[in-house]
Amino acid sequence: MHSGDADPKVVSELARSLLALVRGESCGECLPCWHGIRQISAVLDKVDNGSPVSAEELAAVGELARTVGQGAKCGVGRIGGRLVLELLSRYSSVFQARV
Amino acid sequence: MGRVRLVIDRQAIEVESGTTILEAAARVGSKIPTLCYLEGINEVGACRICVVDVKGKKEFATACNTPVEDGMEVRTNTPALRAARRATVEMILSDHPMECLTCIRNGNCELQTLASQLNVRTVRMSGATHADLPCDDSTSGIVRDPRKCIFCQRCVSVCSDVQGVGAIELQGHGFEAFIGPPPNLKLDETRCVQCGQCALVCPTGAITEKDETDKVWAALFDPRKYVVVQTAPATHVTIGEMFGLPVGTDITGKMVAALRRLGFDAVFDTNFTADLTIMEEGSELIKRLTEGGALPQLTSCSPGWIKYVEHFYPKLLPHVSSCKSPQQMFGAIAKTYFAEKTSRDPASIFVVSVMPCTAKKFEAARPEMDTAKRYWNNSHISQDVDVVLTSRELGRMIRRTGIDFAVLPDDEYDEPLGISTGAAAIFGATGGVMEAALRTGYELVTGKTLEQIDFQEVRGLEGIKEAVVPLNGVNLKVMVAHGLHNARHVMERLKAGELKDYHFIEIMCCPGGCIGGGGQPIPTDTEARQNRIEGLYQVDAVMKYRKSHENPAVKTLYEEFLGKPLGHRSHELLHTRYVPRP
Ligand code: SF4
Ligand code: SF4
Ligand code: SF4
Repeated sequence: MHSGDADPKVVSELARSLLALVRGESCGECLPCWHGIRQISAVLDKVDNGSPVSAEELAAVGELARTVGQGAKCGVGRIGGRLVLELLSRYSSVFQARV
Repeated sequence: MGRVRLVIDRQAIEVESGTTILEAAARVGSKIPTLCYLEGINEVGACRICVVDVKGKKEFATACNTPVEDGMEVRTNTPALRAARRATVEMILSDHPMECLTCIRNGNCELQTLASQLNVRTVRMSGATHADLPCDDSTSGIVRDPRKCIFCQRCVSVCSDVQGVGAIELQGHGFEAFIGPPPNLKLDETRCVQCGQCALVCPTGAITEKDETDKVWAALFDPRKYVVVQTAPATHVTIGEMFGLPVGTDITGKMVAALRRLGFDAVFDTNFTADLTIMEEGSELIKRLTEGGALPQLTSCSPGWIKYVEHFYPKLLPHVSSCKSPQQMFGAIAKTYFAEKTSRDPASIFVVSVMPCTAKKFEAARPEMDTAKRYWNNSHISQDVDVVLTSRELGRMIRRTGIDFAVLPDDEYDEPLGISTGAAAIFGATGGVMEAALRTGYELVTGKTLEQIDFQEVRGLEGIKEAVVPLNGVNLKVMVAHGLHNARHVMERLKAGELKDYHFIEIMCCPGGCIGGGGQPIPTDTEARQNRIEGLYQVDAVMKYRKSHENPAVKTLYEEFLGKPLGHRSHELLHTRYVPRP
């Protein structure tokens, strides 16, 4: 993924649509995927629609994404988690806390 | 099987191939935390709490279901693992009602323990999705609170694999998935037999027994009621666990003392009617053998099993003994014979049972279990058994009064319904009813004294056991099964006509028999089952009487009231009928 002057809207839109794909595929059997992707999506929605997001929430998203990426039962959750981590690290300017 | 060498947390170890990382780690002293794992039953790796780091692998492995490999290097406790485990628990808690203080599992909840162990101190996420799910208290025996469900799937595995019922499943898919009966159905609209095995394995308060302790408190303090209590054989060796005594300790005397202190007017024993059951059921078998009737005869003490046959094998119901279970025989006798003998108004007698079992609650509520009402033709008389408490509920009542159970002096049951034999004591273990029946059947049929009264072949945790007992020139062929999955095997063979030469089959709904019942202390695992069974055989070994027909109070009951086994009164009070269910 290229990391130049990203349009925040495009980046968060991308994150959301990728996660939507993961949600569609998740079987609901393993906990980190089930809960994790849901929680991450909730925070990314806030980033996307400009609502306030706390630094704590973003930190939690990072932790969850790592947990899902390493610990989910199958590739669906793992890819989802890794994509989020990747986006977080490459587009840190987009994923900033906002009051 | 070959051997595998590996290193776990810098400790070298050699184990059988096929061993899981979890088991191998335990042997080097690393106890990996788990949540959904249940040895031999649920090894799906759903919760991801037991993740470990395997050198060279990019992703974590789940220790509970990953077999060891030669040369593996495993770490069970790195910063990344600790973070992942804690994040997972945090996720679970973000969708969990934090009701520990008022939860039935407070103090004995695996989620609570895990959160404490992993030092989870904050929940930074929100977004409960299950908060509005309604409680399902449609059955008499168990209550489901899906808000507390953590999707471990233990109940699903137990219900379908151990019990072969499949009443609760993972329903739906992905983010809309939930655990329970099919959408829009309540549990009492399924084939759930209310065995409570799901409640026994649920790590949280999402499936529990239906607590009826308040009804008992109310009766105990109602001056118009004469409250009698009966204690099931299997409770004699389990209640102590809730008070720190070793698993399998015989706490009969302490339990009697505690019940008296709670205020029961008479403390009786279901073991008394277990002996009575043997008299009736043994006579029924002899009758079927000599005069004809469906053979093999199947036992009928286990209400979960009865409901199972009603649902799954209604055509085979004629094989099931018409004898009521000891609990129901007790209720009927208490409100007829005992009322008459002590000149009490049967409508004032309130019968409480202490049972290892949630299905007993269902059994007591069956509409036909109102014998005393019919016997006296008095509509003020309630069901034969008014309230059934599980072992766990009695434990809570004792705790609530502040009785220091472990130091109580032993006390004796009241007479006459508290007198029993060793044969009754072992009813609580798989094979026990069979052994008790053989001890009595042999002597009744042959008129000789049985020399070797321990029938080892029917003891133990083997799923299906068989024995052949020579009886006056006939070889009596018997079989014992416990756990409904094993029962299903037996019933399929019976249906296929393969068991025509068998005479008597004992079936218990729960694995291990009643000592492993769904109302017993948590945890109930294989080791606990084994220890409790040993406890029961020790109780038996030291009893004055060890054969049901030697019970003097049972003899008196026949002389004074019932007449003879299978007589008119026995039929009216002690036998029952079954209904096919969809
Ligand atoms: S299930 Fe466990 S964690 Fe949940 S409220 Fe009950 S005690 Fe607390
Ligand atoms: S009580 Fe028994 S039959 Fe009913 S859901 Fe639980 S395990 Fe299944
Ligand atoms: S009801 Fe209990 S045992 Fe069943 S999945 Fe939920 S938490 Fe696990």
